[in-house]
Amino acid sequence: MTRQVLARLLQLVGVVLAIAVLNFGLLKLLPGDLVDVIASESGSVTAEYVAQLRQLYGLDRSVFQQLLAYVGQLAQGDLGFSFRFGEPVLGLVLDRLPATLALVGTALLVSVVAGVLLGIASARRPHGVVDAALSTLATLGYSAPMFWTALMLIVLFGVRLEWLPIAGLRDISAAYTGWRLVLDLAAHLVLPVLTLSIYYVAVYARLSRAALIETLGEDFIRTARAKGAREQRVIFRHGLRNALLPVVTMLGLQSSALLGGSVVVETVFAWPGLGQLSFEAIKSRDLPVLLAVLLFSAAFVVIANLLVDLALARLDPRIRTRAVKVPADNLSADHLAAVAKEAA
Amino acid sequence: MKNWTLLQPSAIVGGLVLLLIVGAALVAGWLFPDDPMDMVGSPYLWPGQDATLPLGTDLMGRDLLAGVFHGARVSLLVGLSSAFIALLIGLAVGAASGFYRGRVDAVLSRITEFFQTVPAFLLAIILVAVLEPSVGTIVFALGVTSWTSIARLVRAEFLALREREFVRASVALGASDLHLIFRDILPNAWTPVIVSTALLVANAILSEAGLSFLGLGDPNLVSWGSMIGTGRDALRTGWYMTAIPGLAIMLTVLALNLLSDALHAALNPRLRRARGTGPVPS
Repeated sequence: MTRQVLARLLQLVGVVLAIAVLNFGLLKLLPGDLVDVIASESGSVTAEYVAQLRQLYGLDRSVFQQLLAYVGQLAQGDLGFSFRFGEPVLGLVLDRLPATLALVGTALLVSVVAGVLLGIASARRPHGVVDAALSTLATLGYSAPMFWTALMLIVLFGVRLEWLPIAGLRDISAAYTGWRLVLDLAAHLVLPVLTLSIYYVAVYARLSRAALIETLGEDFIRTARAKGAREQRVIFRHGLRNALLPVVTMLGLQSSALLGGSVVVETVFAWPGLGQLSFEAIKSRDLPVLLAVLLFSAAFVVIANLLVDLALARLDPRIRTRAVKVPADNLSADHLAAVAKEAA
Repeated sequence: MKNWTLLQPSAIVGGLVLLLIVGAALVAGWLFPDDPMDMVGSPYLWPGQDATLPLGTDLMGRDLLAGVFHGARVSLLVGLSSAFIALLIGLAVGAASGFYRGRVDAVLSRITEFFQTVPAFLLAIILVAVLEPSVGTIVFALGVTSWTSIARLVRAEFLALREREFVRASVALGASDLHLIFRDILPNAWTPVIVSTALLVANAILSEAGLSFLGLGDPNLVSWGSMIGTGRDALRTGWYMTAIPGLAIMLTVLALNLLSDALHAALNPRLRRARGTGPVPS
């Protein structure tokens, strides 16, 4: 197990380095460099002054040396300066990170719990009424673009019914404290979480349905039934534990897509997280901010996968004892999707 | 292969809807020869208010029906072209990985893993922002960020098929690598790839809509995503401006999903043997 953790940490270092190189390449792709910007802003500058500036910022060195310097800066936590916000990028990103983590975390939790429950309901009677209804809803759920679902929810719950707040993290005009504040935050969280969940519930419902149907056909389930175990116990105690393995694996794989989705959802709901930060950065082409968001998101995905590894080891003793090589890494998204479809 | 399984209701519905949308894209220039960005009537006309503008107008007086027809072109063009790019990259990477194994596989698998770790949509946003939005850059950005699923699929197929007897027989006959890859293995690996390609097109259409919605669409073209972005400003008074192009996206993606499901079901017996439910060889 420690080997697995070490491997993931090594992967984290590798991913961060690779992103640093990618980011550097993208910055180089932009027309003009920092000195051009300064020169154009100050109006009239001499050629000597420009050369001096280039030397000052290290732009006269070879591309490779510049890359090394860039990676060195990153290692010291210097992610550059945002001209749109007039602040160092690191502080900006760290300020917005909690809101995104709260949104994405809640959405994941809701999607998985609801998805697994719906999956169980479907798997109890495959091709029954419940199953057919759920699979229709699931297909609709992931055919709609997320930002559109968000806007339609706003029209229905915000504008027509006026049940829920439609923008921001909390009501700024009311200075709530204590439980009122918690309630207010929760109310603001409902629609963004619902938007993300409508899409992702479908994924987990399909997956857990397929996995549970497959598990319920295994010998040990027949043994449990033969012993006279009640249906509830067979499903929750024996079946679910095994059926959860692909669901947990999917969690890690989906974390990356979920962060991408949160960009549009945060934009629609003015949720002050990394997604909205990216949107503001897009409008002013503030590349350092976008690149920093990319770096943090990728690091988040690697850490999520580390947690998934640990969870899988708890759920499946075979991984812990390494008696059997369970190909957790190879449960790729497409393979899982294939499993889900095959049982459908 | 049981072809009749392709004739299930979901496949027929999906196919018909898709045909309608392709038809709309084809006749858009002929039915609505004017620029869909032109003002044609008074703004805020609800659907049905004016018989000549059946879907109404947006807040700048533009014909929503013309927008939906012209938007179908952008969505299908971007969806198909970027899926094609993703397919090419995925096939090349997956085939090289699965065929040569060893060090080639190790390097290519690391690269694939990297692209799986980076949020694809975010990377696409950055690429389009750096390269300036246009249909070309959007297609490129979506293509280079969405090939990983195809690569993994093709790699798994190649790893499995490479050990099969008909391939070994070919090796014994002295076939070249290229012959083995293109004549022996690839034709047998197509089916699961086709199923995923339909999903790839669906995802590309969703991503293009997302980019346009965020203001990163081609500024010279009307797309469904940009129509939603415009309609958003009038969400309170005229939500139909947002609802109509969104329904168009949803129908298109739904049709592609249904078609992919039906294809999968029709090709199932072969898939079960090839991929099964067992572990994918590492």
